[in-house]
Amino acid sequence: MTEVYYAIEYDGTVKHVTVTEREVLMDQNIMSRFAVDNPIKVNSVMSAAILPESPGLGNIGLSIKRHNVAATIRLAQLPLRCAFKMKSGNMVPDLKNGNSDPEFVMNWVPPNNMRLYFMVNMIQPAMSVDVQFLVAVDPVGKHYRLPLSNLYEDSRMCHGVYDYSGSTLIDVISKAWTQFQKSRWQSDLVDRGGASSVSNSMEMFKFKPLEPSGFEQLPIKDGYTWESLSTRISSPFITEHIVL
Amino acid sequence: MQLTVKFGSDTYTRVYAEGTTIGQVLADHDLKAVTGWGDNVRAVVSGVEQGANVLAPDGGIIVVETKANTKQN
Repeated sequence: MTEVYYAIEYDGTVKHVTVTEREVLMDQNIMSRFAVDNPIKVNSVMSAAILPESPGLGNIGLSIKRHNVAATIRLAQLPLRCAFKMKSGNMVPDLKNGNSDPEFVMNWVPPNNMRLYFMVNMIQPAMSVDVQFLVAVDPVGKHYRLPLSNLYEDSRMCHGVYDYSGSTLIDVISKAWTQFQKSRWQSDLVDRGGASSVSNSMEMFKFKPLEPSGFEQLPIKDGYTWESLSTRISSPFITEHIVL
Repeated sequence: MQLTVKFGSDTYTRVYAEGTTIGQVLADHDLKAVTGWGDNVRAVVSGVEQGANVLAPDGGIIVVETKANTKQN
């Protein structure tokens, strides 16, 4: 579309103005010009339903700044693939002995006042995963590290050696998501949430065996909150790139 | 002297004695109680990480961030 008009300036001069608008493909150069200092954040870029094994996932939000492209996905449940043990008749994670058998998978549903996010940051143009985070957010937007293993102090995930390369953004996100789903919570970094991390994990993630089969997730017991069992964090990267 | 301390989405203004160091601010029990930060934090002033013995900037802003230590294999 082209618009042509004459403009009279304050000093009396008259100008012929032509404004041309045309749709262009959002390429790397244009993204870079927008995203030099502040990230561009886009909510709900696509449905996370296109990811494998994605029940209850929210939409994928993107944050773009220079060569960083960070995807945020809200989790409806957290897959706990780890060793468990019995404590007071309930199944609780045995993160201290996280490398021992047997391994179970329990899907833990976050409390209503917790928003749980899986974040993946990719570096352009190589389209490889740089860092991943698992972040819990309270109703006023404070960030927390859950009492789990395989998480550094700032909730960055230790994901081991894995081939995250892909030809498209969604390829890379899918690979990161699949690896997250299928990986085991081991004993690595279990102490990074503080000395009480292991006991806190047993208070937060509890499942009661049902007759004849199955498990029921138990609420966090009175006197505790998920915030008190977690560690408050302040990470500039998360603050800048998370898309809530 | 007055200091502004930021931790995540929280901002606190506190008055400290002259000569207070960054390390003393990070160890401030009241701040630790309200923010929930532990011992594993670092202080950043104007984008630069500050050592524990550095004097806190009078009237300045200290951003407290969670340290992400690397794994020791």
